[in-house]
Amino acid sequence: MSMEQEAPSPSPVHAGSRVTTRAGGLVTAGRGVMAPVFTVLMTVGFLDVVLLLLVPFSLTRYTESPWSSSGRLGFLALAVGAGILFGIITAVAADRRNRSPWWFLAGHAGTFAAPLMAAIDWDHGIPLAASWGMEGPGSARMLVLLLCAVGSLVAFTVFSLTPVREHPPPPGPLLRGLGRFFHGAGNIYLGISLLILLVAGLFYGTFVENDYSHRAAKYLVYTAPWFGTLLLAFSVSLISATLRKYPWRVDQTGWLVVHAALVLLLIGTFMTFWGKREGSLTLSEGEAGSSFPLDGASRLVVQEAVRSKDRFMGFRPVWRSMTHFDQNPAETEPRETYRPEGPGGRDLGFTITVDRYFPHGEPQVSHLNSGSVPSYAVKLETRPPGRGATPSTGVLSENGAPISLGRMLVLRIRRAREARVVDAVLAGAPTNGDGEGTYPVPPGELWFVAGPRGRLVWGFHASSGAVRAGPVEAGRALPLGIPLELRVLEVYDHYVRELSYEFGGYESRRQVCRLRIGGDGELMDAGADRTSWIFRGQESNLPLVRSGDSIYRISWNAVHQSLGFQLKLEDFHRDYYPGSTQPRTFESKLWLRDKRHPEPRLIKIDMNHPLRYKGWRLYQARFSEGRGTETTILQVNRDPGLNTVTYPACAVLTLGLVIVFFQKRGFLFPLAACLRRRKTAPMTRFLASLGVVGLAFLATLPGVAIFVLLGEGPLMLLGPLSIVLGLVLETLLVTGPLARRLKRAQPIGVVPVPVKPGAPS
Amino acid sequence: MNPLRIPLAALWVSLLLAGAGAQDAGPLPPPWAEGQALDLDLEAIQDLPVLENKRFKPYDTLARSQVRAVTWKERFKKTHPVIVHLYWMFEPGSAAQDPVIRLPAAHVAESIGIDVEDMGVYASFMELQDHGGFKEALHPLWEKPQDQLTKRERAILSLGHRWMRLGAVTARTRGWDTVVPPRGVAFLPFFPSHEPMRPGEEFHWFSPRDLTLALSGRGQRDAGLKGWSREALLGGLEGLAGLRVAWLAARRGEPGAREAFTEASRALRGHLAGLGAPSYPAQAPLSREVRYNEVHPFTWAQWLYVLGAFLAVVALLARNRGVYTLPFLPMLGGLGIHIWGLWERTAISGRAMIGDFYESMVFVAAVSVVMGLVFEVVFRRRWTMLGGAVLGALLLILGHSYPQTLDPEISKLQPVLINNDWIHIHVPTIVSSYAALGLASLLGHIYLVRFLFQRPEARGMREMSRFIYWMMPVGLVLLFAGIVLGGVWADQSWGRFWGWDPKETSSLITWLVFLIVIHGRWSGWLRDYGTAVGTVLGGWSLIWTYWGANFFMQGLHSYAGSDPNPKIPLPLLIYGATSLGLLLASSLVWLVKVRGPGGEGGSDRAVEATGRVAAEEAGA
Repeated sequence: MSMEQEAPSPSPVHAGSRVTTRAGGLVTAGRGVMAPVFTVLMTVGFLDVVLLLLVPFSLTRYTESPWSSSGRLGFLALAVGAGILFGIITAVAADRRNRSPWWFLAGHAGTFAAPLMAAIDWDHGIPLAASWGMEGPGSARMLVLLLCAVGSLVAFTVFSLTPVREHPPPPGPLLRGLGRFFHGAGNIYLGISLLILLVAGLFYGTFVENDYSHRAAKYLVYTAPWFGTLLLAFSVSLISATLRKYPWRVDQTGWLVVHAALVLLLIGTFMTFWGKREGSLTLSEGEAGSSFPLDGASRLVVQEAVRSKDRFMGFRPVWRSMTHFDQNPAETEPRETYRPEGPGGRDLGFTITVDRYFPHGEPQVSHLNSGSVPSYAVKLETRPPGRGATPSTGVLSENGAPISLGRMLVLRIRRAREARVVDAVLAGAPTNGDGEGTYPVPPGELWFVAGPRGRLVWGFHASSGAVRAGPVEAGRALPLGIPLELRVLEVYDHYVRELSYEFGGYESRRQVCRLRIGGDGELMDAGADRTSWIFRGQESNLPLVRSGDSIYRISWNAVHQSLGFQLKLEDFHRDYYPGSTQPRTFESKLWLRDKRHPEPRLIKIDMNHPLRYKGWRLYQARFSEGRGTETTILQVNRDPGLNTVTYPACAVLTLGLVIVFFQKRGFLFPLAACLRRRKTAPMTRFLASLGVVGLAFLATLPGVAIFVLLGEGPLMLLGPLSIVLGLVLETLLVTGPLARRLKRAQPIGVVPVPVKPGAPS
Repeated sequence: MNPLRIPLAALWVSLLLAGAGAQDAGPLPPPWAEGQALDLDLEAIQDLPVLENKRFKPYDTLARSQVRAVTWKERFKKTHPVIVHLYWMFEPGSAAQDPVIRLPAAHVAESIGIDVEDMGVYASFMELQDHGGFKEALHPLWEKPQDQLTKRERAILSLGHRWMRLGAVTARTRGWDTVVPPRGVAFLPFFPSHEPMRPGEEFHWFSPRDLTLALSGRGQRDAGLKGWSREALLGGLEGLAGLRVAWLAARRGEPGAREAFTEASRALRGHLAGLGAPSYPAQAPLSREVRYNEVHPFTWAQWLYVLGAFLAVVALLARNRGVYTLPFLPMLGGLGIHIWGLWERTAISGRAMIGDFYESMVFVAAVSVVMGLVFEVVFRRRWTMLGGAVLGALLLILGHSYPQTLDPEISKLQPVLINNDWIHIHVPTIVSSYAALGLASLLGHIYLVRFLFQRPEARGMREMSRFIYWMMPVGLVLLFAGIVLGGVWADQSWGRFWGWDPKETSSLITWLVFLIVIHGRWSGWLRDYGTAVGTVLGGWSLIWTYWGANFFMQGLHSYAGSDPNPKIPLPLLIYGATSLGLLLASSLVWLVKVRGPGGEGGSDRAVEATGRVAAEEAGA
């Protein structure tokens, strides 16, 4: 895609006449005539992309297959990339020699070998190579690259030695159809339309993010199937647009690099999308962990109560299923139904329906008088002494814990003759509403006693020794004789305390859901509406279901991801700024151990130094402390696409942009001059065209170096430096006398071939 | 008994004597009143080092920022900020009576019972102190969470902060006046601590109040003062008291007061520097900062750019070779002082000056002027020069118009940004791309204006379209590099390359919008007019990325803290309306000129000569 918008330079092959270029991809493909090599190249290229995109997807989505290891995905990417590169080299070379395109396949040796090798766990080390002293995944990668190179070399040698055929084999109907497809899909108007749709989608996404939450925007837009389809369509359009220009001219180098890099970037995006795992690892001092809960992946687990000789022996998990209702934080009424099955497909006889999901639920306690068992409670209003004091109300009931005076009084009442003592509730000094000054309330004990006929009586034993008592009636204040007003608002005799949750925002903090049991099952201890709330990761008070003669327990937990190694927190250390409680730095010292190195090693993770190990990166994120122990929270993630594909693609794209925007008509002038001579031997021209690609990649090397040398401190400055250098060089080249010479650059190796009479046009 | 108590008595006496003179004469009118103008040699006191907000700064900077915070003006009633601040410190009694605290908007002030017609724009400390409605409205706001405040409550809280700030300077709040002998100078953190400080460790300097407390043995924070001898501490207080005596003498217009004031400031500084405290900063950077404060390089640059833009318009109309060089002079001059200002600010703050929104605007202004001039030198068609001058001036004017939101004070960076080279790589790259794309968009606007009056196939119009088109790739390369570098930074800091943060997403949107424009032009879909319209739309997207995503969205890039009820600033509204009107008007003209019966829609393509399209069509 050149800068200068000019009429095409006069060409020896006049387009539109009965003479056409042999493999002029754009020209011939537009008519549905396409060089077979071109078609094969595209087909295999697409196969590669499909392999790269779909195989990891099908293998890693919510499963714990060996493919979810980032090393393997990266390996696959490397192999496919190498396969594509070597394949293209062979194919272009074959095309120059007018050879059979199928040699191209030899260049793809690595592409097809890679998944095979990875599947049989060869990517972690090859037995034979190990005996030569080569160990680890590196040797496997070397082997794949070697395979690719050898394939391409063999093909190259063979077709170099055999005589050249005069005419390429005529394309069949299938090839012509493909040609039409790619010509259509590579249309720039289609590309622009897709870009516009993409922009609209992104814009919509920012608003979803603002209205709901980050996770909602990710679910509804950025990782939604429609957006993925859009991206995929865009990739197809991009690839087609790149390929339909074949054979590429020298002055299209920048354009070619940019488009290839964009395709790579999209592949990296898909790999990140499908391969990324993240979560946080929480470790207390002395605690060891080798797995961590994943963000955004959780499952429902049904456990069955195990009985042996009518004795309860514990719970055993019988069924688990990934949940989907918690993927979309914006949907609070998901209505998702599960039918749990026991081992061997045994129907457990009940269904679980999730009909509410809140990304953050605020607990709400409701007090009802609808219990089946007599149980008493009193709703009280307290008014501390002092001007401007605000009264507060609370319910005294069985389950609550005592809370300080002035806020809520929680008492326990029993239908028993003996008084239940409410201790320490009236002790202490409440403050009035202004927070200024305190009023001492004498400590004492307040009793509520349920009489034989269900009538409640109160008794107050002040610390001074005075005792007062009386019947409890709704709407009446209790004459305690101290300067605290206690008014009874309501009296319950079949008290039920129900915990439910209210919607508390779209940011995921305390995720809660409401379960409803269908089929033959029945929730035990359920409230009036026969539902039960649980929060993600809840461990106690889980809902129990009675179905048939078994009892089941339902829980909702994060999926744990295994790290493949073990970390044990030795020490958590932090520094404060002197004279403040603001922590300056904090760091964790951990023992690292895995299968290969059973001897634990002591490592350190601090805020600027993450641990990178086995494809995982562990960052010091936060910490918490409580009850004498300190707990470190490490952010864990693994992104297979980033280092292997995305970073190199970004580097290549940046410098490709530099080339494309500043080259006018190319800067590889000696090559162009060489290619312009019509008498140049095919081999020379082939080498020259290789040089075009090679130099374009060389130009991007500094950019790649930035990313390879990441984390090396001042070396990172190489990045901007190389870009600035590139800009200066390019500007010099463009403004220099070269620009004039390059304007007449010809397409590489175009040989006029008369179209045979009768060939489809 | 504490041995320090005895000299303390002497100190009290000396300070009381020093204050007595003023009491005799009664309160004087403020220095900005008629006939009260002071002619003092401030140089010696301006670069007195103080330590505030974890940064050594000259007293001059402190005075400026506090006067600006309270009055919203740097030169309150055309008086030098140091004079105003000295007046506040040394004559707190009368300073508390002067109306200097800037009141919020009339409807907010009236809602808490402040009579704006009676008080005007400013209120005095005592007026607010005694105002029941203000206190009542302010009280519950102190503890309310920041994100739950309404617009009105925010304004009241901000007024409260101004009131407190002045109270701290004049030692009016928290009953300090009963403790501190020289009333009013409680705030000034001028006295160095004795202990050597490790790098990065928090330390603080001491105010007169701390010194007095330390001398009387009641101090809480005297750890850093322990090593000083009694004489050293007393010398600091006496130096300040001497300055006060000289100030009061000057205020009464006594002969020789000017010299006495200079003498007193030198004595104070001499004593403090002579202590030999390990943390005492070098003088040169402080003098440098005073000079930077005095010069106001960005204001100069702003007006020079305005002049340059004006001359560029003249040059456009005159079409004369001599006139053509005229705009270069103010623009180059402005750019020179602009770059000098950037350099000084960088040297003063010790970091690249792109840490907050104000600084980023100043930086974008400089880059856009540079780009405008470079393109001008290449093309010599006056338009890019005009665009650069206009964009630079506009950005600087906008940057100086909202001192509450865009604080021009040099501040320390947030901890996450310190010790991180990425900020020096990522921010300039991305901000330079804003300049290039902004310039393209501005020229797009100018093209649309010309489109209303000129024929699109005129030579000047076609050229201008090409300038627009040439600027976009520059911006696109920089923007992409900036986005990627930001991603790498995010990967280093938070462990993710791309997190769909609103700022990330919107900069991607901007990139794609300009990409669409460029591809549209390549494909022949957009011609000259279409390109201009595309850059105008891209400009909207750019503004959204630059301002909108920061102030309207919650994310990692919120410089100014996200306001839950943001209001679109008036200049943006005006711009939006103008830009939209321009689009509509020019589209009507386009319908008539290009698509209409007399138009030459068909022949436009030949004029356009988009090579690739022609090649494609010829080939197919």
